[in-house]
Amino acid sequence: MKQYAIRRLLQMIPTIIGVSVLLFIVFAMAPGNFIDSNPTISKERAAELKAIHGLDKPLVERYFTWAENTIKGDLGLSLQHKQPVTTVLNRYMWNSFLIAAIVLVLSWTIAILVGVFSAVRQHSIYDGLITFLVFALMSLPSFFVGLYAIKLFAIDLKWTPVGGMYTSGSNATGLARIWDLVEHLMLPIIVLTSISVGGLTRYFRTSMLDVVRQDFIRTARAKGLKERTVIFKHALRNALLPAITLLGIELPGLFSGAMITEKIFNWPGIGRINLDAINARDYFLLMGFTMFLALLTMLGNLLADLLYRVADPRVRMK
Amino acid sequence: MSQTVAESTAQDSKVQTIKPASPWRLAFKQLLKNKFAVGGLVVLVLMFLICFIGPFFSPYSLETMNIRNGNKPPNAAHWLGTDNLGRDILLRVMLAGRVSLLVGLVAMMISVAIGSTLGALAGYYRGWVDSIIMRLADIMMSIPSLPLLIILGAVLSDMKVPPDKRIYVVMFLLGFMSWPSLARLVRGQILMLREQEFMQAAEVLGLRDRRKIFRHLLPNTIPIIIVVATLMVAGAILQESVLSYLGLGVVPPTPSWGNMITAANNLIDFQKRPWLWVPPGVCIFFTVIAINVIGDGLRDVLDPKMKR
Repeated sequence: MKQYAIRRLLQMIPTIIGVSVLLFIVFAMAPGNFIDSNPTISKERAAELKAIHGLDKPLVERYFTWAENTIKGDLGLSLQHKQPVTTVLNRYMWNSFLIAAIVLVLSWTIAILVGVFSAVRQHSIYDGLITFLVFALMSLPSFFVGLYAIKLFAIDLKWTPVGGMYTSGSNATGLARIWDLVEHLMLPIIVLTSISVGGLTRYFRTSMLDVVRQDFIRTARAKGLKERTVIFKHALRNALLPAITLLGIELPGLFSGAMITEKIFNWPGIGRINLDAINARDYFLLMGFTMFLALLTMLGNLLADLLYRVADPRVRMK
Repeated sequence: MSQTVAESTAQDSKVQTIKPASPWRLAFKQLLKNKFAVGGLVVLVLMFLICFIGPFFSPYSLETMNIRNGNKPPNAAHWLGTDNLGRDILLRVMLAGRVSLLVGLVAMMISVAIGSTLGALAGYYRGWVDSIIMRLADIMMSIPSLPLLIILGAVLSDMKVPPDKRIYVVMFLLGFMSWPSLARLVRGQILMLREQEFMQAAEVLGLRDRRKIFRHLLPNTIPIIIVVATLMVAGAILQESVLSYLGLGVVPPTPSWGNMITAANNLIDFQKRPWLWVPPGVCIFFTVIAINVIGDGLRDVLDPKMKR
């Protein structure tokens, strides 16, 4: 087990180097740069600024400087925000995390309940209806749903605010401020939850169906246990086991922010900041954040595999 | 053929005339039992027919602009209304559908070509070939795809690709981004298949590697490839729409479902003229549902073991 983890960690090193090289090249290929696109900066000042940020050096040299600083833990300075990248990331990431965490809890709860219900009543009308709904949810184009939700709930019905995190200009405190936040959270959370709940429900339904067909469930029923106990204690526990790998895969999603949804709802999260950074060619912010996500993705996958080995001894044998 | 059958014994001819149901035909029959999949097929075929044949029946053309007739809500003459240049929205939605469906299909083909070839090579040769290809796949899979797509879209804008040629580049881009997952899947299958007895026979026959891989190993993975490929079309259509919505995919004057929804970025169009941006969104939604449902039905039929 330990050996396996170490081998996987070592394997990550060439991958992460590859990711960084690829990203650096792609970002360097992108037309324009932050300094030249600002018309208020004079030529001399632009050259000076480029020298400060090292943008005048050849690509290879820039890469190695960046890599060296990054290993030391210094991600550089965001050109847009005039602050260290880590500060910027830290400021906006938690806004995204807030949404992502709520969405995660909501969508898992709904998906488990609906998935179990749908599996227990396989081939019933409910099951068919749920299956159809699940497919519909899985096929939603996020930006279109976001736009439509704003149009419907915020503009036509005026139930929720149009976007943002707090009502601008409001200086409410205490409970009123929290309620303001909740109102603003409503739409993005509904949209993101409905997008992610579809696939998860399907997953739990299949996994549950696999379990209820097994012999130990028949034994449990034969023992005379209540159906509720059979389903929720014996079946669900086993159906949830493979899902722990999903948790590992969801890890980067907690911190990545939802780019399009945040843009549409004007949410001050890391996804929107990332989109702005792409458009403004804020290289250090882009590199820092993308590398962070790539690393999280790899760690998440590793975590998923390790958890699966812990949960399922049959995998460990191989 | 019939000559030789007639000449041979009666028993032989009987054996010859019994036509074994091909696995494909069986799979298709089973697919038709799945109500959802049939519904999806009907929707998809309708969508294709409407998009590819519909425009011929439209009395309008994209060139005839009439600004005085612009921004009209749906009416008897223009079923889905008109845009700011007085162009018929229904016609634009159909033409955009051609673009979006084609982008989805071609992107899928590119991705299948790259993914299955690389996966097969990695699985067959193992060793360093496998290591290189799989590390490459790891790299591609750990980079969040949307930022990369956006940057590459910006690179394309800078390369001054003419707007009407851009859809080809978008197809390639989307196809290139999605090969790693398929490559992994195919590799796993090939690793298993190459140990089977028929491959020893192929070995004994002294076949060349190329023939072994493309004639004997890859055809055995086709059922799985079909399932993944179907779902890839849906993914590519969605990704194209996001990219075009951000103005980095297919750009006007070529309409695509995604870039038609950009109308929603204009506050007045967004609030007061939903007919500009709701129809393409609804089309994306129905097309993608249809494809996903078909893909799922195919999975049940072609590969009962692989479940999500």
